[in-house]
Amino acid sequence: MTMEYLSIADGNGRRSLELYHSFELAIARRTDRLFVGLFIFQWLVGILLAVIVSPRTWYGTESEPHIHIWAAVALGGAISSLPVYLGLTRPGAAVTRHTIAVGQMLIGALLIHLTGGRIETHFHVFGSLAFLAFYRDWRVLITASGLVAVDHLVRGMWWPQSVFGVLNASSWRWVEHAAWVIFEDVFLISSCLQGRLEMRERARQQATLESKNDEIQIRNRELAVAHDAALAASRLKSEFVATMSHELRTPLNAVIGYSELLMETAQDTGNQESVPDLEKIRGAGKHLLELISGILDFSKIEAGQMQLDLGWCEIGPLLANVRDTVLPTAAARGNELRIVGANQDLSLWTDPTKLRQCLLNLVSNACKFTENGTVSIRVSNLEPENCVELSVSDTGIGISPEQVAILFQPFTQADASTARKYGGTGLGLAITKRLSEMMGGSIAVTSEPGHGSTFSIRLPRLTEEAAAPAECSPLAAARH
Amino acid sequence: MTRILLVEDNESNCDMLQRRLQRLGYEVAEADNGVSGIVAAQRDAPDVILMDLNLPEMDGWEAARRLKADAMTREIPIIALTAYASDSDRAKAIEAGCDDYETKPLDLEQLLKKIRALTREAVE
Repeated sequence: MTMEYLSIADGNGRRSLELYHSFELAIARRTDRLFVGLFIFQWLVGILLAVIVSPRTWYGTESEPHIHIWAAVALGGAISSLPVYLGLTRPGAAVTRHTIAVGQMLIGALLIHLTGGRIETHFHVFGSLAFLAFYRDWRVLITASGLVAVDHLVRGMWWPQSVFGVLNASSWRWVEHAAWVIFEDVFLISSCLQGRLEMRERARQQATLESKNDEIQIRNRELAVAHDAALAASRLKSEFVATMSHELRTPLNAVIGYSELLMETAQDTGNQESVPDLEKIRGAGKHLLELISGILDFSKIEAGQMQLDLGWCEIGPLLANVRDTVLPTAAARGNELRIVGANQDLSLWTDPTKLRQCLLNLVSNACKFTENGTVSIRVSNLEPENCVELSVSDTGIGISPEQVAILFQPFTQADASTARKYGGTGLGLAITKRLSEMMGGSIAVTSEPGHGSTFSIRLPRLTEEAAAPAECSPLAAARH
Repeated sequence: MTRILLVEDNESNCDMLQRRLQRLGYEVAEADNGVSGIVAAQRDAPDVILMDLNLPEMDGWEAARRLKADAMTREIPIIALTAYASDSDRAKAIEAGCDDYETKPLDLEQLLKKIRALTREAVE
């Protein structure tokens, strides 16, 4: 027995004992009820047999019911009445089952007497003992067996014909009968003990099960509470991020605004000396703004609060707008920014603001990681898949396969030095991926280190009637 | 000369925007909450109102609703200046009767474009 087993047994000892006693009581009550029925049945059968076997007795020409009939009626009733009474009024009590044991064996004695001590009738004793074993209480069997022995001893001595059916019996004949009874008792008692052992084990198991069940219910309640708390915390976090983002924007408005005001004033007065420093303040402010927007967007997506605002989006004007926005960054690094290929006249039913955000992110990334190269935006109409693919290719530094693997995870950049050299939040691609997926699409990247990368967003071509974006067959997540 | 009413409770932001707009030749009056904003609008009848949304006493949404409900001020275009960046906040501003919105931190060029567009419309 392991320690764990012991501790469970100890912890549930009281409950286990309680259950054991309740099983015991249930068996005693059930068996008491059975015996009440049996007593009434035996009484009626006894009378019936007496009537059939010896209905009348003759005194010359007079006849009257045989004395055996009266014995069956009166003695059978007398013997049965107390056990039946106790069985009905005090079921389950120890005194009831011992009284029943005595009564049952007395019925057997009466039966043996009424049949003139026939050996066959003695089998009633064995049957009764087996029936009494239903109680699974060996003490009941001892009471019953003791009564049988005493009955055989006394009647064998004074009235052998009543019990053995002979006029003269050996004074030791009762011992032989008692020995057969003991022989049966050995099996019945061992079966009773075995039954008790199993009951005890069942009680222990049920107690363990109950306590485990209680534990599970407690744990479930704890989980439910923790789940609610986590949801509340997540809600609070989103609200906090939204509020903070608002609060952070207000002073940032002053920082950026005043630096621009000073630059404008410098221009008016012709004092250009401080302009480069002011540019740095403004640049840092704008960067901070990007970080805040990224965190707010990401937190909204994570909290499931980002919603699509669907409308018709003309691809041509959208791409021109993106190009115009990024053109200064591209030019600063000596990059050529091109929109190539046909399909500019396509219109997509999607969220134009979010699609613009995705493309803006990809194109500015491409410009950031490319120097004196080319960044091209291409639209492909994939007829068979009913999808549109928007891809942004550059001739920049490229991404290694190891870096590609973590590229779309939040808060990661290709490597830590990237952040120092190129800036950025590490949230841009994570947000782009999630937004693309929200629009029913997918994003993929192919790259060759040293030669450039291509990021492709694939979006389903929907109609206005399509309520939910049908999934567009995703691109391979990362092809190298 | 285009006359602008700037309703903004943050002193720095108000001062900064006022000076930048004045430098470009606009006449700028200020109010620092929704109630005084409505009073100033009724008194001065500006060409355009720049309305911060998060204001003490009466917020910008309510002030916009009241200005658009009043026959005297109904025609004055309102541009909401919001630090709230989400689409639903923008929708809320438009719903309250604002004619356009700009997100803080402000892009002055963008704001000027919107002011010009709305005041030209008003003149026509």
